[in-house]
Amino acid sequence: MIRLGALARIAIGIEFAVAVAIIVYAGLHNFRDVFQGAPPAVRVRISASCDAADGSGSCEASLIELNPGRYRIVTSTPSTRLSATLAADDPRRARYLLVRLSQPASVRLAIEPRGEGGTEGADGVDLLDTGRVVIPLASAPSVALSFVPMPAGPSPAASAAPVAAAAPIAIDELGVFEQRSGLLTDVRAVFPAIPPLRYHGTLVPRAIAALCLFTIVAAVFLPPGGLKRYGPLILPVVCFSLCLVDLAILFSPYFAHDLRTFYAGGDLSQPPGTNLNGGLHQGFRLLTGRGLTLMDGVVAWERMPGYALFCAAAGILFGHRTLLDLALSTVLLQTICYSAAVGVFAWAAGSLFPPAAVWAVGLLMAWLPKQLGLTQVDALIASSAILVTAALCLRLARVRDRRAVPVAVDVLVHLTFAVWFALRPDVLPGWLGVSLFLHWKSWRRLLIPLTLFLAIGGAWGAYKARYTGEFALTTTSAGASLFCGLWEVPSHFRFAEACRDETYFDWIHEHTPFQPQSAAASSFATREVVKFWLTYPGHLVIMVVHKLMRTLDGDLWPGYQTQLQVFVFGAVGRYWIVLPLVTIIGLCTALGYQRERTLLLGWPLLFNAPIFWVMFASLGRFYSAVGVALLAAAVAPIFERDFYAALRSRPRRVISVVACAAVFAIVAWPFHDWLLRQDGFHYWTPLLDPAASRLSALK
Amino acid sequence: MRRGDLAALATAGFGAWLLWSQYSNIATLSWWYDRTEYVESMRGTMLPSPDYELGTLPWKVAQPRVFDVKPDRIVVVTDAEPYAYQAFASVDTHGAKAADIQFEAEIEQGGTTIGLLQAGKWIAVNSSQRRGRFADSNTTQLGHNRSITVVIANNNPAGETRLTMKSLRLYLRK
Repeated sequence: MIRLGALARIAIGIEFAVAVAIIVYAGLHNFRDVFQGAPPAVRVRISASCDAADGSGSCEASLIELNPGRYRIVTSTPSTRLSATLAADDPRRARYLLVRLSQPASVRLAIEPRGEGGTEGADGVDLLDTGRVVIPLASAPSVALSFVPMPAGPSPAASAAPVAAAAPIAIDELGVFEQRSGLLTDVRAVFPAIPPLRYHGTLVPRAIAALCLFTIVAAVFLPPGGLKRYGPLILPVVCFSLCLVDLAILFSPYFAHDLRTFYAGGDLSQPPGTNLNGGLHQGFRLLTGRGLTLMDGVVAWERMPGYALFCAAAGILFGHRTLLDLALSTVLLQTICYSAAVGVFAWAAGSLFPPAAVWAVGLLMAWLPKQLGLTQVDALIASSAILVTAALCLRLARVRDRRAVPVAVDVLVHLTFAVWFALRPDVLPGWLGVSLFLHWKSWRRLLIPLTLFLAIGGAWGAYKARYTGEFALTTTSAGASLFCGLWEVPSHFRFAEACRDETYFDWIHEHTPFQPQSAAASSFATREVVKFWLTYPGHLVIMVVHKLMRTLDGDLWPGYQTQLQVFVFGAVGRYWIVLPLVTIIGLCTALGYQRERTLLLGWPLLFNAPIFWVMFASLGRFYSAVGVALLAAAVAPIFERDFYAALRSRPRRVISVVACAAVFAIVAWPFHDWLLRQDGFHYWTPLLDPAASRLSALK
Repeated sequence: MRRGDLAALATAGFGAWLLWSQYSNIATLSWWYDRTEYVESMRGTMLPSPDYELGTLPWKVAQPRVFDVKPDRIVVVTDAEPYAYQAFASVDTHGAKAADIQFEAEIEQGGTTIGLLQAGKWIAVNSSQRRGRFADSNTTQLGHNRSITVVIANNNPAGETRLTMKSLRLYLRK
């Protein structure tokens, strides 16, 4: 019978290897689709023009090269016609035309081959804005295309005549290809008959999610030595694959917009400074010798410099010929960094947790919803938090073994915090709290974080001062964040709607002579917000309760959920996953089981999440570090025998904690809903006169 | 036997089942897409002889207002009950492992669902709620039950549907 057990373990090992191989294959298969968006196109010379709808003649057709040979074309004004001429260097290879219409909803495309060998006359094709279309081309030296807006609708009679255009014409993709394969569906060695939406959108992610869960169980039965040795090497590859599985769903060229068309038609066509293009513009300008600026003479008031530097580094590593190339390079480096961070965590945590626990935590980090396709700093915070966790694991292992903690280890710990600070300043309260906790017996080591803070903050402050004339160690957006944070709970207040920079700017201009981006404006806003809290303490309480509940309801795992995560979250609500994990942290704390380790690894729950209960949480997109910390602190004990021994040793405490958690789980949402209906409490003004507040106007 | 060994055995079994079931599910679906594409590609070509056709299926009616069988078509006017079965034809599978269905209808009003039932469950369904030509194909693997049923149902939430079935071919694959 013992032999049977050994055979079962061998079988598990084989199944584990097969599962990992499938996950890796499924992810890496998507690499080209995610980062290229299309097979190599035939090189063409392209020209485009348009006719303005108002007959003014002032219409320009702008071309953006997505890849060599694949373009996006958009007219500058509402147009009645967009014309394009494509001349291929090698006409014999120009066999298929790829078109994706963005707007209007329907156009008539006339295709006219030109030159020797070209067929006389034009073919007409009706195009809708529903996705890619591939059209065979007659062999000709060049081909003239004409896009004329048509009324949308199913009636053939309705589409018989062109209509006056009300919007610019936008063609998201236009390119000429030698082969049809890889344009409408990915080239797959397995199951090629299944359409991409079904295959990549549902089947693969759900199967991969199931396999991931299986490997977590299987890891318990694998030889610990092997898992500890090879886990840190395998996990980054698995993580990279899972990232690609997610990205291939969100940015599929076959049933959505690939990353290149998403950025070319989205934020890169907007003025510099939006969430997704701010860092890119700064990084691009830095690489082209124009400083860490958004525009000439303008530095980002609401951002630290780290993300722009990261974008620049991505450009150096993977290319920055155009801003679009830089965006793709940044997404790639973000994905690599996230995967590498998981690998570093697996290596560092190997000295602290059982190998199966390391695999479980690492894999769950890799599986979480992510924001890696978005070029904004929030995409990097999870990676930073994982690195902080890894560094803390190294330190905790030394403390557990009763070895002295070298200065180098503490420098490493604080360097990871510093990296986060260079990206986003919300780490500061936590960095301070952790620093005091770590060094309260050897306070001289507090100089390490202090030095790093002053070096980064001072350098950025000095750089910004050249442009703004004022010195600030961090951003000058705390006031704006507090201002917008006030309105993230339903209320009757005037600003209780989606808060934007413009809302804040208008309010500052209304009440002060300050520039809204200045430190003075931020200080004014901060004072007014604190005054508002004191004026309406009920609103403050309701706001904190509401955001706390949103956090527990799953906002702490921000990012776009695909079927990879829905496979689990669809079966068990996030609230019912988060609460048991929080309960484990409560048990560890109450029982004294690895209390220091648990609280240190879970520090973002105490010092980071609460910041966003009073500041702008933006639907939870800033919480990614909190979700990572919850996994690091709460999942590992499940794999430790001593944890269960500790549970058995103090049953009364266990019952108390579990009972409290159960009562909270059942009562919390009804209480929240009841509280939100208590207008008497919400608008209660026991301390200050509402007339004195510049924020208190009701709708 | 030790508990650890038992757990390992259970996990190994679960792993094997999981890998097989995932493969099997996706392979079945791939087969379906492959097969449907093939059946659809046969439309308009010299079709092989089906096992059953519109005129040879043993139709029974539930409660349509009109069910007029002609040699080359069936005119159906359903009752007003949304989603109710209107006509069905049960045939022996003769041990077939799969079935292909190919049909063409003209919807004048409302909507319809045309599909296959086995053991009381839909195993292939095609629906349309748009006026005009409704031509489609479907394919399915069959269970152990010895019969399948071709069903024409009303798919108009607002009431009556009028349609003409121009063709319906059922292929049973061993």
